[in-house]
Amino acid sequence: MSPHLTTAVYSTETLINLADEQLSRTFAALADPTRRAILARLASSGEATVNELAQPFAISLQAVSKHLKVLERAGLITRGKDRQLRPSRIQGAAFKQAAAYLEDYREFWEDSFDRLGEHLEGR
Amino acid sequence: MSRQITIRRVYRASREALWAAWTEPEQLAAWWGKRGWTARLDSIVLDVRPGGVFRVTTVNDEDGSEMTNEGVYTEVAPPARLAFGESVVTFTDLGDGRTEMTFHTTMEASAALRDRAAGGLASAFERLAEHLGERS
Repeated sequence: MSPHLTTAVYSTETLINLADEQLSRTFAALADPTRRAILARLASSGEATVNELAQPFAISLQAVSKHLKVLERAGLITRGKDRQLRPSRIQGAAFKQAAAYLEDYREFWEDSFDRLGEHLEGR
Repeated sequence: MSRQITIRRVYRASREALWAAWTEPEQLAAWWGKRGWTARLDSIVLDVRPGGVFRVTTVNDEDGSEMTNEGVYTEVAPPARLAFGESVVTFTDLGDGRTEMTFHTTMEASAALRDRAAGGLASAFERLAEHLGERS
């Protein structure tokens, strides 16, 4: 275990569990096409209200609100404090974490399979 | 973004050669792991039968940190298909001395993150801790 981890606020085990939960929520949130479309919209427009976000979709405001709640819990968006409008905006950290994690995992296999070729072909 | 990863490769080798490379410890040790990491031969357990254990520990060449991949074999059909943990690898004879290998895996957050922690990739964790701290 790396010594760096002991300096974290959480114990390593707690940190891993929290990280698991966070990543699971992030991946679950990203699995839905409507939520990905909402994120894409926010990525291009910066900030949008529930009404604005509902426009391109054939779904109710309530349904959009539900999706926003999921995205918020996943750490993918933040929402303004204004009770009426609660404009949403993208929060990059969770998304970056999920992307980095996938990339890291893919790299493990890509590197291994390159090496497998070298091994099989006697290089 | 998907939690599924599929990788296809074509090798100038027979299916049998591929099978041996995946199931014999000496061979697996020669290729398993990211560049800059070396599989420890004495750590490798390949009990290649349904329900058997699969375990490999790789060591970082620079800092000596270790990470372990492990799982249980669920399907063993030589020389065509091998399933272990969340991964499935299939070998297809292309008929010209080459074999197409298809590897498919589903990300399991907990397992891979533990590997990450064990691998000493502390910076990713520190970033994550900052992120979690911001949110609490």
